[in-house]
Amino acid sequence: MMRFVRCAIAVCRKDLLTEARQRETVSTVCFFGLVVVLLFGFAVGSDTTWLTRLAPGLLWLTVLLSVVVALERSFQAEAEEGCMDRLILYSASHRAVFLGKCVTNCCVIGTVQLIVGLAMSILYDLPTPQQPGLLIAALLLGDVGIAVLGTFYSAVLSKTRARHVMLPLLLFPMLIPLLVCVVTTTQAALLGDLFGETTVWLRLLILFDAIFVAAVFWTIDPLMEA
Amino acid sequence: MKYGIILVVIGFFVLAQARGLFFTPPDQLMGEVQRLMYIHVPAAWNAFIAFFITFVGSIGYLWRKTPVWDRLAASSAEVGVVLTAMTVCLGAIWGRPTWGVWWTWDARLTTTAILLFLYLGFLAIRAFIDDRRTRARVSAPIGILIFLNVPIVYFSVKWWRTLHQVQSSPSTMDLGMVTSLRLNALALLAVLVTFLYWRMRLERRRQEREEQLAMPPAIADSTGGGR
Repeated sequence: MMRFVRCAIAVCRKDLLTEARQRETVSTVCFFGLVVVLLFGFAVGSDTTWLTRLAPGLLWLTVLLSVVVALERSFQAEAEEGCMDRLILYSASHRAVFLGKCVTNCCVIGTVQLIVGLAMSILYDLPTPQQPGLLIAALLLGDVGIAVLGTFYSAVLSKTRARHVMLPLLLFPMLIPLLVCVVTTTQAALLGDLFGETTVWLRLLILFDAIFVAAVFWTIDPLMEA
Repeated sequence: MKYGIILVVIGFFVLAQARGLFFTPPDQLMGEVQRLMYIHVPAAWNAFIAFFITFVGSIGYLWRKTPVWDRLAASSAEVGVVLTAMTVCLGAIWGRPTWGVWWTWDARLTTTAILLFLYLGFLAIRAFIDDRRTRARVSAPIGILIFLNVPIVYFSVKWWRTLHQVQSSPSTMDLGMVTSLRLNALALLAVLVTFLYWRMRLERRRQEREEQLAMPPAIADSTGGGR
C-alpha cells in the first residue's frame, strides 16, 4: 500500500516537474481557453445579462475544449520514447502509474479552469457567487470526473494509431451526464438556488465520479498491459 | 441447409411484419402512422439487448481472456449500432406527424442518440488497432464503461427535460396490437441472434486467415493457407 502511494506520487511529481520546467502544455491550453472566452464574447454579443446566463455552460465548454490538448499529451512522452513498458515494470502496479497521471491531469484541469473562470468573471462581469462552497464542490467534482475519464481515454488512444482527432469524439459523449450536472450546479452556485434543486445534481455528480473511478481502476490493468 | 435457418428467420420476420401492417387495427388517434411501432419499439428493445451482450462479452473477455468473448462483444456492438440507428430514424419519422417535430430533447430520444455515438466510438477505436490482442484488451474496458454510463445518461437527461410519451401498458392496448408487437420483438430478436452468429463466424474466419498470412510460407502451405 505504501509502495502504491509512493509510486503514484513519484509519477505525478515527475509529470508536474516536467511541466513546470517545460511550461508548454499548461500555457498553450490556458492561452487557448482565454481565446475561446474572448470569442464567446463576440459570438454571443456584448450584452452582459446574456453572458451571465450562459456563463456556467460556456465555462465548462471552454474547459472541455481546451483540456483535450493536455489530456492527449498525458501519455505521449512515455509512448514516444517507448518507456511505458519500463515504467510499468519498475512501478508497484499499473494502477499506481495511472493514478499518478490522473492526479497530474486533475491539477492541469483545475489550473486551466481557475484561469478561464477568473477571465470570464472579469470579461463577462459575473456577479459574486451566491454559494461559494457549492461552486468549489462543483468545480472539484467536475475536474475529477473529466480527469479520470480523460486519462482513461488518453491511455486507450496511446495504444492506437489514431491520436489527435479521436479523443474528443470518444470522451465528450461519455461526459454528457457530467456536463449536465456541473453546469446546473455551477449555475445554482453562481446565481442562487431558489428551489433547492441542486442537491439531486450534486448527488448524481458524486455518483458519476464514484462509478467511473471504480470502473476505470478495475479495468485499467489489461488496458495498460495491451 | 446452412442457409435454411436464415430463410426461416427472414420468413418469421416478414410474417410478423405483415401481421402488424395488415392484420392489426390502426391506432384510434394516430392512425396508420402508429404501425411504425412494430419495428421501432422492437428495434429499441433489441438494441438494448445487443448492448447488454456487448457488456457481457467485455466482462467475459476480462475474466477469461479468450478471443471468443471479444468477438461476441464486437459483433453485438455492430448489430446494436444498426438497430439503434434504425430506432432513431424511425422515431424521427414517427415524431414528425405525431408530435409535429423531427427531434426533441427528451430523455429517451437523447439517451438513444448518445448511445449511438458511444458505440460508434467503440467501433471506431477498434478499427484503429491492428493487433488483435491489443484490440481486445483495449476495447473490453471501453465496452464496460459505456454500458455503465447508460443509466446515468438516462437519468441525467430525464431530470433535465422530458416529453416522450409514457409507455402504453399492455392492458390499455388492443390485444391484436400487443400480439403483433411481441411477435415482432421476437422476430427481430431472431434476426439479432442470426446476425450475431454470422458476424462472429466471419470474424473467426478472418482471424484464422490473418494467422495463416502471418505464418512463414512453408508452414502456411502445409496447413493449406495458400488456397
